[in-house]
Amino acid sequence: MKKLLKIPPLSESDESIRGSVLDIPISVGDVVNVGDTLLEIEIEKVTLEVPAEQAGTIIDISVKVGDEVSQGVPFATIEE
Amino acid sequence: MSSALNEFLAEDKQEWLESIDNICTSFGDDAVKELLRIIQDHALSKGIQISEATLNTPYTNTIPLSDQPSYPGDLGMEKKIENIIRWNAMAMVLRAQDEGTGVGGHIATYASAATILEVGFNHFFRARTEDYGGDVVMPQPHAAPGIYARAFLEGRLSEQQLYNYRRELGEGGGLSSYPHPRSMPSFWQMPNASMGLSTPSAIYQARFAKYLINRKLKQDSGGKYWCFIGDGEADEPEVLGTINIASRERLNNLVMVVNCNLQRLDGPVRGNGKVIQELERSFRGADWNVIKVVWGSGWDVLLAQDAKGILRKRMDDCLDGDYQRYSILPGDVQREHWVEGNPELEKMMNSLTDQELKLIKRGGQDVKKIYAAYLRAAQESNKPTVILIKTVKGDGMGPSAEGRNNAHQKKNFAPEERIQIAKNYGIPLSEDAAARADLYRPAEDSEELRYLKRHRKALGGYLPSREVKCQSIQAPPLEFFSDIFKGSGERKVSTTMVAVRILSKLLKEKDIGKYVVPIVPDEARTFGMDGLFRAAGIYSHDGQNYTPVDAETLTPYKEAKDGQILQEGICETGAIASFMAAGSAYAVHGLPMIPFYIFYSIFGFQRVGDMIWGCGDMMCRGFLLGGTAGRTTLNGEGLQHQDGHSHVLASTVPNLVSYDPAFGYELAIIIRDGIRRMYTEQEDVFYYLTVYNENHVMPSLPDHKNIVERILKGGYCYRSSRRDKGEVINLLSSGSIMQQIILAADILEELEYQVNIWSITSFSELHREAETFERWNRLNPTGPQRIPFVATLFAEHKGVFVAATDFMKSVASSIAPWIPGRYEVLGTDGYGLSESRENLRDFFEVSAAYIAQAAISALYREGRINAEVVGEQCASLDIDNKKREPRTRT
Ligand SMILES: Cc1ncc(C[n+]2csc(CCOP(=O)(O)OP(=O)(O)O)c2C)c(N)n1
Ligand SMILES: [Mg+2]
Repeated sequence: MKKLLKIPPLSESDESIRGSVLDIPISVGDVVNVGDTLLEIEIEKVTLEVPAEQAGTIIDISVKVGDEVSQGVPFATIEE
Repeated sequence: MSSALNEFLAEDKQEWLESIDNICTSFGDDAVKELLRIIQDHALSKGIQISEATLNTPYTNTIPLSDQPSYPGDLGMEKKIENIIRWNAMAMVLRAQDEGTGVGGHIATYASAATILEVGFNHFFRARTEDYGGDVVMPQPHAAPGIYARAFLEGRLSEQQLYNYRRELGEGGGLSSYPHPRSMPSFWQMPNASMGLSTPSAIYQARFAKYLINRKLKQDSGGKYWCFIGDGEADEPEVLGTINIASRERLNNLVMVVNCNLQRLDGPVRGNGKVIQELERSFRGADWNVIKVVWGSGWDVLLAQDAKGILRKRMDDCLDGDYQRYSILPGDVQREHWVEGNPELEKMMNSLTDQELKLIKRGGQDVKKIYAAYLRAAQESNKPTVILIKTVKGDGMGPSAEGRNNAHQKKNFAPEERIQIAKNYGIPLSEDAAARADLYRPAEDSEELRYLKRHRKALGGYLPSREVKCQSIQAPPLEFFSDIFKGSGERKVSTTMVAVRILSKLLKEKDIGKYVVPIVPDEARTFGMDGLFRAAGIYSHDGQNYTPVDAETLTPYKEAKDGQILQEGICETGAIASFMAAGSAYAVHGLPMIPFYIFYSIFGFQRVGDMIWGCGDMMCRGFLLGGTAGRTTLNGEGLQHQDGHSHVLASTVPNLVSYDPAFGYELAIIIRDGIRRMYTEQEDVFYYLTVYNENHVMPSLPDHKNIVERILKGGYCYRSSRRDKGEVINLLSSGSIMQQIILAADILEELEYQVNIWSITSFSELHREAETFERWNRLNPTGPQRIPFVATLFAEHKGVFVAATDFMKSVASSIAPWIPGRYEVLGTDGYGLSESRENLRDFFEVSAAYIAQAAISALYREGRINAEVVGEQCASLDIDNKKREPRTRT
């Protein structure tokens, strides 16, 4: 089953907060496990890592380094 | 108490007690607790003050005679051995005194502690073995002669070493005054000399052992921390200030023993009060097991007869100052004072002769009472234990010292006194030998030595003893940091952010990641470390029994039993004690733990400098990271936050390697090499690195020859002049002020000068190496002369030199002798103030304009340019040359 991955909440209280994509350690075709880092986002000088919540194969990545992102923005597709 | 009340209590007390017993049998302990709580709440609601009553128990032993175990040792034999140790401990100090070298020494502390230590050595302190984790024993520093004297009987120290007490350079080796692992690396386990620091050291060691067990890096095979402190020492804020964490963390592997001899150096600890009761309240309030050992067995019978509580009341009422005096009074006078016209008490005491009265001991002079307390402390529980033991300062030193206010400093005795003391101790030395204070060691096959050795063997071996058995680990290759070497492109980041990135990468590194120990004192968000919480977790022995408010985010406040980050709360003392524990784990646990303690840089050395010195003593490894560094870079925070001097303080620690990196790649190269030196090569060094919160573009690693080596040695040319004409100016900098240097270089190049920019990663490393070489050259003037790196670095460069940093001028001035031209140094001497970064840099005269001005001024004073040029060029810099010196701001 395919699933669209979205940016999780970046802040405790501010849904509109934006961060920029710092690094994308995965590539299309990679097999990832739960907990693996999918994206690194910098927000207010803190680096956050977006972990995989499920295992699977990455079949699409829709952001690139430097993009501005916020909560709910789709960034990749995973296939179980 | 009125007599009516006395009568009421005598009649009704029993009834009250019986009903409590009944409730306990029918409903259990909890019911009794609940009932007492109800009664207490009721009394409180009536406004009755009972805090002291609830936290204090009577001034008697916690363990009643009925619960006292039988003593497993040979009392007579142990006394004999103890007396020999007492004698030798005293003899080595007397000898040192007699030599006239004035090296000093203490007798009275050990004299008061001998019995409490001997019970531990004969029956409790267990060494590390295959199946036991091993105890760490921390005696009071001033009791060190006793520990040496025991090791002498054990055959671990030679007579020569004892005669060289406090003469570490003595022929045949000598002994350090106090416990210093650095001085005696196979003997002392923990440093201990600065009053008060052993408590947090022991507490955080005990907690770090739990941390390693919970993280499954260490087997849970036991091991206790026995920490002995003085009652005077307990006034140090580090003692009572750190006991709460021990109970919160349920450190059942920790036993503290307070030697309550009622005296400190100058006089009584609490003449007008009772130190044991006061400490009981504090420790009970902090939820420790508290065991009091106040009275020796001689009092047991009297206490048993004390149905009306008359004796107990007297014991409770008597002040420490009086107790101290009783210890020096003859029996009859003592009796007179003690009964103080109380006929009932007088009657009770009449069952003893004056001589017997004089001989009844305090708890700390009675091995049976001490044994009972240690046994209870050693049993499983979920709390730390403190044992408060009443002793006599200078016990056995005779009437000129015992219990006297001068006891602490007493280190000389007349020949007759020496002879008398030797007799009292039963030491079979001739009078001449006793007067000379000869050491005495029974024959190797004597009963005494056989007994002592047998008991140590049964407990796994000798203590204290330090043995390092730890694997070497490899630092990751340089390529591991390639993303950092690439620079930040157009992004502006700070060296703090790079440091956190390096830490985060190291935490994930497959071989060494598990050994990394991030330590923060409630400052993680300041440094942008909250991003590490989710993956690494914050250590909590309880795990996390609540849902954090930010659970849904990418930076949840995640606590976990196997969490890797030590979040110490606002307690720099605790955090540095954790650093000490983690940094010495290679020796204590045989694990190459790599602590990264990141703190507000001003609250490092000047706050906990004494502990950092102790880390040096303990040969700790790891990284101290002074965050928010730089007097002007940390803006707004003002006078007591802005650090422009930690590098001066850091330079005082002989084996601390300090760097003040300007760029991310420097930081990565330095940290990598630190891991190599400390954990692969096992070098005896530790690191101090300052990181800043100014955001700027991080350049990529320049493709220069030898750059890695030069970064590590302390400096390299970051950028050579882009012009080939004009007067030459060399600008030197480190840390964040490098950004001002780069701006100044632009200004100066615009004015048609040639400008070289030098990144000085460590003025202190350059200076230290140069001093080493200079010393060699001085001692060997006729041999080939060594040229320090700093001299070779600038050898080919002419022109003037200007250094600017965010630290005091003395940091950059330290390399002045090796600079081949006029050297102007700018720095941030003075108290900080609340201002913007830009204004601060002008105020402290380290802005680009001041740097440029200093260069122009230097050229003029070297006769390279004329006054007209100076006037012209400086006009545009907008500098007030009559400005008040920042160091003198009121
Ligand atoms: C921080 C610090 N301050 C002062 C001293 C000097 N000093 C050493 S022992 C001592 C008195 C110790 O009294 P106490 O703790 O009661 O120990 P005792 O010798 O009575 O057992 C003092 C003031 C020190 N070693 N460290
Ligand atoms: Mg004392």
